[in-house]
Amino acid sequence: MFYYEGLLSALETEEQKTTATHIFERYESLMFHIAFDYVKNESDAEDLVMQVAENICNNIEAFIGKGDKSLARMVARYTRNAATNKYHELKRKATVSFDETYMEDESREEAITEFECSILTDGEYFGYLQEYVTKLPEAYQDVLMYRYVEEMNCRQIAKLLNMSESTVSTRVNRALKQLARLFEEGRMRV
Amino acid sequence: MSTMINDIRLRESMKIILRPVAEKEDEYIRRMDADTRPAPATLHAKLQSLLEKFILKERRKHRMTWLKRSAIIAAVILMLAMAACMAIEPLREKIFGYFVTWYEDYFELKIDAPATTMLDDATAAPLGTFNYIPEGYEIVEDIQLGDKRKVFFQNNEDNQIVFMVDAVKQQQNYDVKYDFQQQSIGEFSVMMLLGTEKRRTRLIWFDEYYRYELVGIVPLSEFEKMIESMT
Repeated sequence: MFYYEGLLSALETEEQKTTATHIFERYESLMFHIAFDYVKNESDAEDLVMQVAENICNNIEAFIGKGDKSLARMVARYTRNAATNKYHELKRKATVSFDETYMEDESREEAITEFECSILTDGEYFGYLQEYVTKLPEAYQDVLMYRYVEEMNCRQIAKLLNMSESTVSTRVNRALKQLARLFEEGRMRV
Repeated sequence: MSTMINDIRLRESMKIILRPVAEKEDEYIRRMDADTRPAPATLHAKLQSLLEKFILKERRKHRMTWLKRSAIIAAVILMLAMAACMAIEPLREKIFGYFVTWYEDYFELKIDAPATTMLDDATAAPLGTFNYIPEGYEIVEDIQLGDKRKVFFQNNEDNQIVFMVDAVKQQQNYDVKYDFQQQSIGEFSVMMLLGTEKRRTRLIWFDEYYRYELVGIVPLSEFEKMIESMT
């Protein structure tokens, strides 16, 4: 907790400080283990935890009022994203990042069609869709989780993930489209 | 309006569709978080029994290791003690002396049984009669029971010579406590026991059927004469 004192002092309200303190006390080890799982290095994992803690403090509003389960998921997802970026950074890959590879054209808004919406909202297909949703890239799963399970709006997600609001919106739409496409492809094969 | 309804329906549908992802995340969190949590106090019965078996096995291994260690330590101490005993002269002599004495004091004297049974008329004739008796001695008692005879000679100073005759019916083992010398007297091979108590002389000899014994505080030469004169 000694390391977090500086971060906590930067927070404005008591509610923010309480939430941040609770997150650091309860989920510090979780953050560390997830980070270590990715970078396989104790010092890098500690750096990553500090980085995640800083990001959490910067977006503390998104965590306020969440239940323990929701907080754990958010912290885990947050750490996993940071760890993935760190992992790529450590590997010094010449290739472009995941976001750049898969979302290079995200600036263009793509709304889901009526047909795609009908697939995703048809209760009969939920079983299949639940199977296909796990096959989506992690980045897509993350935004969908933030958007529909944590019930955050695009602005909050954008701030949390440090990206533009339109990118988040496009990513959500693309995730939904890809899910509908996977379902359609599966149905075609059958 | 339709878009709004679709949006709400989509939101609710996605909550259901995303359940496996949420469960997967929860499982991942549990796994990661479990690294810092203590093991559950109550285990599944099967796991508990497996664990107990494992613990027993480990304990047995541990016990065997300690037994081996103890045996090695005991052997080393014994060897050191023996080495110390060998190094200290008085102890060494005492220990070796004990074994040597023991060996010298006790040995087996095996006498073969006669080829035939005792003669029927052997009991009729007196067993061993001396033509020579040391000066001053006379027979005070003569007991003959079957194939056994015991004669007591005595002089004025109450010194006694005891002559014993006993049939050799089967192979007999005699524990002879004292050292002995063997010499020929007349027709017999006589064993003279040495170092007997009270400076007694004790001679033992055999013929085909009998074992003879003379005991008394008499010079050996007198005994030799007696044996030579025996009929």
